Amino acid sequence: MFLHNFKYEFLQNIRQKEIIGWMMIFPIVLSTLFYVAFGDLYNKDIAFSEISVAVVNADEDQIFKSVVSELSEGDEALLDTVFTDSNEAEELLENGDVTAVIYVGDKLSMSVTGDSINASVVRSFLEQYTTQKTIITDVAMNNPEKLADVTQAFSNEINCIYTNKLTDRNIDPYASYFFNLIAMVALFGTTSGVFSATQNQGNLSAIGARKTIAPTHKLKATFSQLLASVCTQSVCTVLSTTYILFILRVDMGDNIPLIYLSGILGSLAGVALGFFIGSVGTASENTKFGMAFGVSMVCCFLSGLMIADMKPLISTYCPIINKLNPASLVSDLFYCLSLYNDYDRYTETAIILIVMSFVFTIAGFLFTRRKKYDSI
Amino acid sequence: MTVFNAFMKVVLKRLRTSMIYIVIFVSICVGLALNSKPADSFTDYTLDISINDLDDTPASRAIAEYIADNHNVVETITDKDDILDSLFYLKTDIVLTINKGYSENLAKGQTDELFSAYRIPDSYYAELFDSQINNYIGIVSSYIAGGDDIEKAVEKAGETASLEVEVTNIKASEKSNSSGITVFFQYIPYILILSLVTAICPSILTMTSNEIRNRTNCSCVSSAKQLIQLVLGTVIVSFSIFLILIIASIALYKGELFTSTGLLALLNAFVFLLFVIMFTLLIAVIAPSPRAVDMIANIFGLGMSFLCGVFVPQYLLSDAVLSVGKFFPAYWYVKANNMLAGVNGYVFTNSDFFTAIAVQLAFTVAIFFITLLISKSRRSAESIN
Repeated sequence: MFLHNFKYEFLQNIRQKEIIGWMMIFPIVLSTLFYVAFGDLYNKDIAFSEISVAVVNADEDQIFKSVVSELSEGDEALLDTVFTDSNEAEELLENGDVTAVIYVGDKLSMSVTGDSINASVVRSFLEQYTTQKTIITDVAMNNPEKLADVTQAFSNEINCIYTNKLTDRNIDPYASYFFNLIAMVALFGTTSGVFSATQNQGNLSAIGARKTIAPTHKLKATFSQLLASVCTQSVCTVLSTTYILFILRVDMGDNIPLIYLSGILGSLAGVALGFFIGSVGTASENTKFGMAFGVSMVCCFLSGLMIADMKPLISTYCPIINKLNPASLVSDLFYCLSLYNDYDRYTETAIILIVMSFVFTIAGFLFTRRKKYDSI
Repeated sequence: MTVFNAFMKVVLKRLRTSMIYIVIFVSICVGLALNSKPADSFTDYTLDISINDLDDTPASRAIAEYIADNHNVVETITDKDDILDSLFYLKTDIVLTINKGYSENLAKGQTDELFSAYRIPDSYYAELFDSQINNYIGIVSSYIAGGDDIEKAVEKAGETASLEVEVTNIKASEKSNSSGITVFFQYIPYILILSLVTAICPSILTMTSNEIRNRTNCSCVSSAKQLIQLVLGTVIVSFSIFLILIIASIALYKGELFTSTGLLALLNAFVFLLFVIMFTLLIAVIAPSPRAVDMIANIFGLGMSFLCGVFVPQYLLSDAVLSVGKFFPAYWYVKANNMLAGVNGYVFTNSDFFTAIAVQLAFTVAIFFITLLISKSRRSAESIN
């Protein structure tokens, strides 16, 4: 009987072509947009590359000119320098061709078009040069016998920071948008969950009324329907994960089976959450759909789908939300797989999701069982 | 006004979801308002740095103080999982450990591996931090080489390392100022699309569903009157949601809305609202069912927001992305808002600002005609069937 119910529930789910269609189109379109928008963002915003600057009146300080030229050479150059006059330099700055214009004179100064980390790096370099020049001039005037030692101290290459390695993988913060997108697709299972709940309540749908009088055990009927919903939702999640993983080639780690399992666990949590929302109260089916969608969007927002800073912000001020937010947990699963070398945290997060799904399902079931209707 | 009254009843039921979005949006704006800063001068980029001082000597405390003067020192993190979390989510840029023996080694002139750090390798953050720390250590070393002891060298380095180079921000104009209100208006496209589409579209779909439409058509209310009442309801709900947002902006930013920047930002948002109303009607025409509306709203809302620079600053997006973004009104909205804020390299000029407004209006008119066309062709198809 269970399999019989499951078969027809599954068929009923996949026959809702417009919903299934949008559920598949949605992640593909959005992940493509994300890919286009964020494709180059890591290189542009985080990975260091030489900073383009224009230098005006460079001949007034030959030492500075030679230092700048030296820093603009080689594969690991700090600067990409153009020596020019002030008119052309300002035009380059206005057009966004250079980050800053450096003016050489009695004192070094610079012009920029706004705050940026590139401009701060350039300013830091200028301050470094100014400081060293001041100290050397000061020593030359007051303590000339030490001039050679001081100059030598500045000439020595300083490698005072040892960089520790945390992971073999590339830490790309923008990958979190894709993790959250899959979490969102999984949480769209809430609509299937609501559908499952309303299809089992006599006061909310005609089919629910018919099922209520059938002799099938409520638990069997409900679980077969939920399982069918989880399967349908998982197909959508797996397809979107495949697209992100193999077509867009977003780095999500090497453990492909666990990546898919994460999506399926997310679908399970989404359906269970929707089932719970659908089971509570007597609001109409459409109102419950709206509420389920609202809840899943809020969960996605809090896990950083729209603004990536949300998740760290919450972890600072109220970390328990991240531990209870299914969207955060699903995106955490992908995060663990993509960066962690072990599976401890992954396992812990997966267990929380499974327990959460179980609690939502049981709670939803308790709300819907043994209901009597005087009139429908 | 039967159709209007029924429409408003349906909308009020759907408004709960929209209100969730609006409340969250306003809450976020409170946080953003507290952190906004003026863009008319240059401000150095500050990194979030966690410092673990294992040496705990006057010299190590002095460099920790130097770092704190230039950057934002956050709580000390030592757990590896927490470090990875904070680096991945950009909560912390550098996790620095001042190694044991820092002071002793520095006094001997040994500068190798005085610190160990976790950070995203080869990043701008690493480059900026390394440059400043190497500068500081170079200065201390030079004073030690010049005959000073470590205490004296550290004291003098603290004074010398703070020499600043003058920086001019040429894009700061009189009209442009990154007041909090432009930050508030930055995110309005997404919230307008989401709240209007989720509240209005399902309500229109309900009112135009076959059963209800056939029943209404039997009544004495003409089709034209039905349409007018539905459009009136849509406009009133849209304006009400917009008004809630504007009242929130007045509450958050006091009189800023009534400055020239605030009023122009309001005009920009109002023009975008007109587009969203038209867009909402279009979705109501093409959406297959109320359940699909939310997904369609999100594809367009999120997609447009990410492509056009609502969530990610436009200067970070590639030229190709921005070229695509130009085909969406949100791009022009964000561009106009950036001009008012004087951020991302934009500077306010009347012609550029009103061009951006005109382009948004053009999109609105285009969507209006597309909606009419689709609506008419569907009705023709239905009447044939």
